[in-house]
Order: sequence, then C-alpha cells, then structure tokens
Amino acid sequence: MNIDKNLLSGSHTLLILSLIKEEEMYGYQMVVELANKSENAFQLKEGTLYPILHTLEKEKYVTSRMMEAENGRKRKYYKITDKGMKYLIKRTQEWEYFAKKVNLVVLGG
Amino acid sequence: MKEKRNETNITDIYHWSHEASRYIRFKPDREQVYQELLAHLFDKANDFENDGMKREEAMKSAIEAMGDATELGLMMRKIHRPYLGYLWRFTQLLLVFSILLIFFVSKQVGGIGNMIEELKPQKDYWEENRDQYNNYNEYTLIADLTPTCEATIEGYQLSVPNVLHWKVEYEVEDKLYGDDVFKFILKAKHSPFLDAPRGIIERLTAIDNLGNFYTDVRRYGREPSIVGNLTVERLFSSQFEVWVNNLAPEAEWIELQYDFLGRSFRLRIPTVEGGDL
Repeated sequence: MNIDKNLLSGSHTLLILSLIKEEEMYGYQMVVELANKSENAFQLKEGTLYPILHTLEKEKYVTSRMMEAENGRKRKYYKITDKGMKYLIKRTQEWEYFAKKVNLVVLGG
Repeated sequence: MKEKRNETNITDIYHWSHEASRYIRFKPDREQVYQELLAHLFDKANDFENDGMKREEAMKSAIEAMGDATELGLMMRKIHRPYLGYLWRFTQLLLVFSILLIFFVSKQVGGIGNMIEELKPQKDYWEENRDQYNNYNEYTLIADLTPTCEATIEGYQLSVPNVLHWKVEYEVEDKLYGDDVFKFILKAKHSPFLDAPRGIIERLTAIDNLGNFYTDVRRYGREPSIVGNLTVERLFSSQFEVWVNNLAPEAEWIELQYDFLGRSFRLRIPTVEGGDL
C-alpha cells in the first residue's frame, strides 16, 4: 500500500478532490475545469491523473459510475465519498497550515 | 527490457490506450481502463481538431500530453492488482457451486428437512424394545448373540449386530407347546444416495444346518419363513428387524440366502451360542 499512499500524498490529490467536491466529473472534464479555474496556471499532468483517480477509488475516497455521453462514448464519472470528504478537509487544513507557515517565513515576521 | 521508450513510437490513440492498459492482469479492469483512457484521448484530440489541428496532428498532441504509455501501464498494473478480482470471482463461483451441491444432494435424500432429521442421532429401536420381551414369564432366553458375519451386495454392506432367541412355552387345552422365537437385526450400510434395501429383505430365504428351508413368503402359520420389517432408516445406514418363523429347535445356525438378477450373497447366523463355529 506504500505505493498508493505516495501517489496520494502530493498536491494533485488535493486539487482533484476539491474539483469534484461539488459535482461528479470524468477525467478529461477535470483537466479542463482545472485549467479554467486556475487560469491555466495548473496543468494537471494527465499521465498521473488516472493513476491517482484509480488509487482514490481503491482507497474508497471516490466512487465511479459509467454514463453515456452525447457522442455515444461511455464516460466514467467520479464522485467524492464521505470518507473522501473527510480526507479532503484534513489535507486542506494541512495545506493551509503549511501555506501559513511558509508565508510567515517568506513574507512576514 | 527489450522495448524502447514508446513516446515517439506510438502515434495512434488506440494503440496508446492498449499499451497503457495491457499490463493489468484482471480482464474486466483492463477493459475498463482501456475505454477510459481512449475516451480521454478522443476528447482531447477532438478539442485540438476544433482549434484547427489536423486529425493526425491532434492525435499526436493528445498522446504527448498524456505521457509515456508503458510507464502509465506499469503504474496501472501496480494499482489494479488481480487477486481481489480473482478472489471475488472465486468466492462467487464457490457460493453458486455450494448452493447447487446442497440442492442436488438434498433432492437425493428427500429434501433438506429430511436430511437434517436423519442426521440426528436416533434411538436404537432394538435397545428400546428389548425389555418388552423379558417381561413375559413364558419366554426363556436361549441366546443373545452379537455375531460378526458380514456380506456385501449392490452397494450395501450387510451385518447382523444382534441375534435373539427365546423359547416360549404355553398351554392350550392342557397340552404344552413350545415354540422358538427367533429374530435378528440386519443392518445395511450404504451411501446417502441409496434407499434402505427393502427389495433385498423381501427376497430373503434361508436354510439351516439341518437342511430345512425357510421361504420368503409372508404366510404366518406353520410354514417356516423369513420376514423382515424396516425399523430404522438413516442417511448412511438402515436397519431391519427380521423374524424367522418356525425355526427348527435343534438348528445351530441359519444361513440367509439372496439370489436375484444375477446378484447374490450368503450370510450365516448362529442360532445358539457357538452355533456358527
């Protein structure tokens, strides 16, 4: 399980989970959404998107279901779970704490 | 590793998706991942085309954005380990198989309720009724034996666990009569798919050491005969109570005989102590 935990410990997980905390999305949709929201500052590395999503599902932080798109293609939509929500909150708090401390050192004091 | 890095080699999105998913061992997972990656590349290439790129160019760009297919493939393999999948499949199959097996076996033995009934330890009919005969004064016990004779026929293992022989004396119009009351337990061991061997019991005849013949016909009266009744029917064994009517008083043993449709057996039973020696 070490490999999975390592995969989830980066900031990508935080980004992905907060993207889908309001609505369920499929992979490519997340990439587009993130580019829009961050004004292209964050380009989700698509090579790691799916390993992270599948690991999140394995750890039960998200669930998935197949839905048929307008063009006939089947798309896998991911939705955050209660466990995932708790995880997101925890990671967010960690991130906020981290950011605050960095600001203290770099900007203030 | 013999393979070169595939970044420059794969330009087709179908090929790319195939390479990125082929290391996953459990087939349904592999198929799902293939479809998901393909859909993503498809959408991305479409967006590029809508921006003006030519199809081939669009596909190449989409693939470049995704990265190395083999690298992704190996990561996917680590994530989608098959044992949970196989374990689940195995448990499902096992469950279905067990249900079918129980259903099949229970049909053979007359239903599940019956099966449970028969597995319960049953009281020995013989033991329960033994005392019945000791209470009558006119009965004199001649022999209470436990022979070791055995025979096998048609999937049944036969044995005679107990033999009881009494002399009964009674008076009719001032005349004294004496009769021999002789009975034994015939036990048959069998697989749960077989019923009690009623057919065998109905066709039992016998001769004794004096050459007297005992018929299988149920005619209570003066004709020497053998008559059996089923008393215990269990999953793996059955028991019959067999009576010999008009046993010759001087007989020392009686040999059961069965001959039917080419199958036969003989079983020698002592009627007095040491009679079968």
